[in-house]
Amino acid sequence: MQIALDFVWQSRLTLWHKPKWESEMDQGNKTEKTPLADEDEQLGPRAAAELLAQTTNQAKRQFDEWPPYLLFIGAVIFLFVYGVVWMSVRGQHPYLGPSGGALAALYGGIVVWIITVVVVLQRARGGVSGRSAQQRRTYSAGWIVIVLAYSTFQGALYHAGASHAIVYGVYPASVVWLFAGTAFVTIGVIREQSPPLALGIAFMAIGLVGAFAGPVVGWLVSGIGISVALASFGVVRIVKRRA
Amino acid sequence: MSVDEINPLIHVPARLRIMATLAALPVGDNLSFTRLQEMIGLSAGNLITHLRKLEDANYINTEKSGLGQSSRTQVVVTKRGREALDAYTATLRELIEGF
Repeated sequence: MQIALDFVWQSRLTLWHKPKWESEMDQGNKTEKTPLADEDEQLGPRAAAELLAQTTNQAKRQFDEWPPYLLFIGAVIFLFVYGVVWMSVRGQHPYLGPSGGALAALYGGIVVWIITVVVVLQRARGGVSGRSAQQRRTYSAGWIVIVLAYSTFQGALYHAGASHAIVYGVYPASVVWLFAGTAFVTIGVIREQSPPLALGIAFMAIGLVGAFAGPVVGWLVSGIGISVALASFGVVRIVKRRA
Repeated sequence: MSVDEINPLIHVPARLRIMATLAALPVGDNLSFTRLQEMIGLSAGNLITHLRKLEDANYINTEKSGLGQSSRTQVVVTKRGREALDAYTATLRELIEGF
């Protein structure tokens, strides 16, 4: 018995069973066959274990939001910009604050750092959604509040008549790291993670030491301290990756 | 422990890599099809076929959003999938130690 071909009926059948991922398939080759040759590939236990370890490590590296090189870049940036500011305030009696050029270098360096962090984070987070994405939005809002609070309090100090040594010295050189350190300690405690907790404690310690060092040396202490802290964390992350 | 006890569904290079990549994400996170394809390096059709097999076993879930060409698929490993991968890893370890 011959069955007449009914292309209208057949096309309806095809549309009914339209693959769920058709839009993604459209991005590739629609006529491509999928032989799945690897189904027949003999994979020994050792080779499988190696492939599993290799794939896991590669994936973790690609999802890593704070790769070691980012921390090393941060170390160099902060050492440079804080060093420039320290050079501009060295020998000031009375303390007046950083020069315009030094401030430009400071803010320029911070902008470069922020842009670098955003680029790296976007690359790591690309395509990832879910609980951690929601957490990050919350943390971002928190950071904005902290920056606003820090800046507003500096204004309050100025308004209260605090000296230049405090408003443009100790506060931006050292107290800023107390704010940042508190934030990281809080993140570490909430997430029960030791890296942000340790980094937060380091930042707070640097801020306190810098505050006691005064408005001039505080810039030097913070620059070296933050640089060493970030570089050390970079080294720790490299060692942990290799372990 | 023998080689026969290895989970045959995961014990295929492509699917092993898919499971390992998805399991590297924190619990509760999912990955877009596009990013997964980029990381695994498979063709779209090949990847879809493997994902279908894993989804049939309830090792992963897929969620499609949007319409037409702008639709996107997110892939997430399930609790069962993580447990299966952990069991698979433990089996490999026992086999290797037993050699």
